[in-house]
Amino acid sequence: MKTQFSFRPLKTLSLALVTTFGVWLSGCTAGFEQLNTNPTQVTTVDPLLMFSNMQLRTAGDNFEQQTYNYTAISCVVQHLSPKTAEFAAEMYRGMPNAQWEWWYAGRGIIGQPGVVKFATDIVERAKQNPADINILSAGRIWKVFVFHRITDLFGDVPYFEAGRGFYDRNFTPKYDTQEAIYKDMLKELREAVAAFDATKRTLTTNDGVYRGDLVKWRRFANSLRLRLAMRLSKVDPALARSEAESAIAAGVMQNNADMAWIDQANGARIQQSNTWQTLNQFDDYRLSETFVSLLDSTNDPRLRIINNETVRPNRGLPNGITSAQRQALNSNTLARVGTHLASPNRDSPTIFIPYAEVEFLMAEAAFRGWTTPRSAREHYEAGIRGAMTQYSICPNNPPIPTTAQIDAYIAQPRIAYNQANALEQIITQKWIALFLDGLEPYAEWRRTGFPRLRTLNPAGNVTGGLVPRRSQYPQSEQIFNPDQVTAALGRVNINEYNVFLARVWWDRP
Amino acid sequence: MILAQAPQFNIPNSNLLPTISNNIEAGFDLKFLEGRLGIDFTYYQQDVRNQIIPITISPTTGFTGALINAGRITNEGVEVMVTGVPVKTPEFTWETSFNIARNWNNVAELFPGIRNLDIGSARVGATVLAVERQAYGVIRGTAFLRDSSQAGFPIVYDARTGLPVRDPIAKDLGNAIPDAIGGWSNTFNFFGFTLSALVDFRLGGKIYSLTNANSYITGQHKGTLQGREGARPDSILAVGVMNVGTTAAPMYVPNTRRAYVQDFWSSYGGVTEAFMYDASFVKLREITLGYTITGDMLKNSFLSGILTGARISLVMRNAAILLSNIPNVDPESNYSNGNAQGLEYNSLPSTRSYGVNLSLKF
Repeated sequence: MKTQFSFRPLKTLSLALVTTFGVWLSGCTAGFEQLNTNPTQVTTVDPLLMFSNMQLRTAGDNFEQQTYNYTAISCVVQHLSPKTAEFAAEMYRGMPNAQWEWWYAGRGIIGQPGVVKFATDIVERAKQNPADINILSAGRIWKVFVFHRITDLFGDVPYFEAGRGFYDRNFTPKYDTQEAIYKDMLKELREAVAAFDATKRTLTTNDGVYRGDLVKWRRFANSLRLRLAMRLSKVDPALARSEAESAIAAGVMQNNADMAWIDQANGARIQQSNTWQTLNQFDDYRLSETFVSLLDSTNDPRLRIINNETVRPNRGLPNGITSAQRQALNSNTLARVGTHLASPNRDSPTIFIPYAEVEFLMAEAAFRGWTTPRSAREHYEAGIRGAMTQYSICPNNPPIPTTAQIDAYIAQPRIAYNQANALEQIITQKWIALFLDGLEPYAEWRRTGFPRLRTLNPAGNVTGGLVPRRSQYPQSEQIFNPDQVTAALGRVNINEYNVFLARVWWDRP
Repeated sequence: MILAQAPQFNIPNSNLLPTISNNIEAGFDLKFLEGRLGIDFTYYQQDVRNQIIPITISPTTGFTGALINAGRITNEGVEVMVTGVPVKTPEFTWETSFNIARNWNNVAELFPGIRNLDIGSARVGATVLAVERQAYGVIRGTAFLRDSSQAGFPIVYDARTGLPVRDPIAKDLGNAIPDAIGGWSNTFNFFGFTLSALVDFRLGGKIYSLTNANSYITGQHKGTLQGREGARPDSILAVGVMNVGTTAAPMYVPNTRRAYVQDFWSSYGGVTEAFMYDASFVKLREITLGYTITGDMLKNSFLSGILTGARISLVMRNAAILLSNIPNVDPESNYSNGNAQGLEYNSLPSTRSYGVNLSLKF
């Protein structure tokens, strides 16, 4: 009797429990999406909102990147020279490669994603909505801009599968050949320009470079295509010519108003600011003697913009010298980057592609006998004029040369266009116009051998005085992506003393 | 999903599975001769699947980390302990105990496409990894480029500078996990005295010593004296080969290029392979000498009503390293406080300590 008695409440209880759990469980599945959606945070983002951040990230927003990577390349091309520490790159002992992670994934330590991830995300998101065609096109163009820098520096790199860790869960992207990357980049630029549609939503102020001006975007993309085409002048002259002529015909930058640059005037936040000021804050660099002596000996008025000080502005610091030699020079008195390009308020602009470069590219095209709007001399001179006046976008009232000053400069025998050494003249002028953009002059030096860099053979260099010709892949790739990086290294000649002496695909002797 | 963008550096995983661990353990504990001989034996096997681990991935994915279910990691091992009392008389006893353990580890499967997990890194030069189909704890780093066509695989020196050439492919340079660990303790009791000694040992396992590497780079290591003096001071001619052919078709001949000695040793110091050592050791871990005062002995003293017994002992810890194959540093040093074994960097020497213990029974 007793047992029976105690059984009943238990049965009732179990029934109650089953019912309760049943209700809970069914409730759980029904509201699953809602329950798992955070009501206080956004769950989707407009790709447009990522655009300006991506552009600012491309400018380089952190002094570490600039001091360790861009600056190192600037020392290799002898724009700058290190005053205190010796750079492995400048001393020909190795090349910087921290920007590998910075470009692809970003830097977790400052919570900023890399430009490849940004560009991949913008393209993926914009693809989903036909109304976002202009965002998609601009994203594709920017992606090419980012990737041409990566492949120019490293050679074969992940491209088609890069930045897709979230979308594809592919943790080991394949390294594509530079040839395949270049051909795809040229195709991307053609397609993206053709796809712009003025009737669709524009990028407006979220575009920090052109404020959504599609005409200027087309010119930028065509100018970038011209830059890429010219890079192939040795490895594939026929393709270089046809792409260059097609890009010029499609319409490239016409004056400094078309220049691709980003204003960092409101650079209070680290993400927005131009950090070249660290050159002077930490005072680790001076202008290279190679650079200063050329400008000084040709009475170049730009020297007063680049270095706006009165202390021996006509003397730079030679590259590749020992610390003892540096001390003997009293490097504190040597010319440095002044307040227009390295403003202490971090409000100097960053130029991605100057209009002057486009004129120099056309000058070279004309020099090579390709179809161009004007003669090589005219493009060359237009390039110099553009480069002389491009710094009007800089803060602190730079002394922009007058037309008379520019005319006098061009009239000098060393500067005046001379068919016999035109290529050297053109590339040397481009090297000056691209001051503080180490990457593009470095690529052009490898392609043409100009400007004539001072031959260095510093103590302890491992190349026998040869300038490195690429950056080596980070060691970490051999751990996290060993098969793919090994395959890529197999295409380089790994018997080369160090990989950084091996030429990339477009770099031919 | 918004997860892919913004300040997100790790790829989340919406398909995580629970970790499943299977363990088998068997053993016996036998005593013979009225407890004067004992054997304790244990065998175990562990099989872990779907272990949830955050991993580091190539930044070319757009991310630096991901959360995954690692495929399968197995452990198998034996532990043996033999105890004995070889001598037992009222005046003198000798007790001894010897133990040895061995573990076999295998990272059977990781994740499709991922064959390495980063467990930890040295400041420079080496990374400790879990590598698929190998035991946990592989040390990977830079190695010398060698001429594989010749016997003995001579090191390649640069024909222009005479400096050692590094293989651009990082190499697996050994495993930090020892083959076996164990100890042997002996205790002797005689006329109230107790003398005991404990010997610890480790067999096998590799260690990368950044202390030795750095002292080569800075020229403070005894090894860097070579080449400083002699007929041609400050230059060194390393025994090996150099490439006089083209880069595409190397032709190796005996090295004749002398290198500047400072550059040579700093370059040599940067090669991980040169500073991999065997981490085996035998240490006299502890010696204790004690004397026991029993209550009987105190019977007639003034302490008789207060104390029922006392013991005084002298203890020395880390008495001696009896055998070590690594110069200048303690083979037991470890740089990482995580799971990464086998890295040494500017470690402090282990300290020998002396102590006196007095215990009183009331």
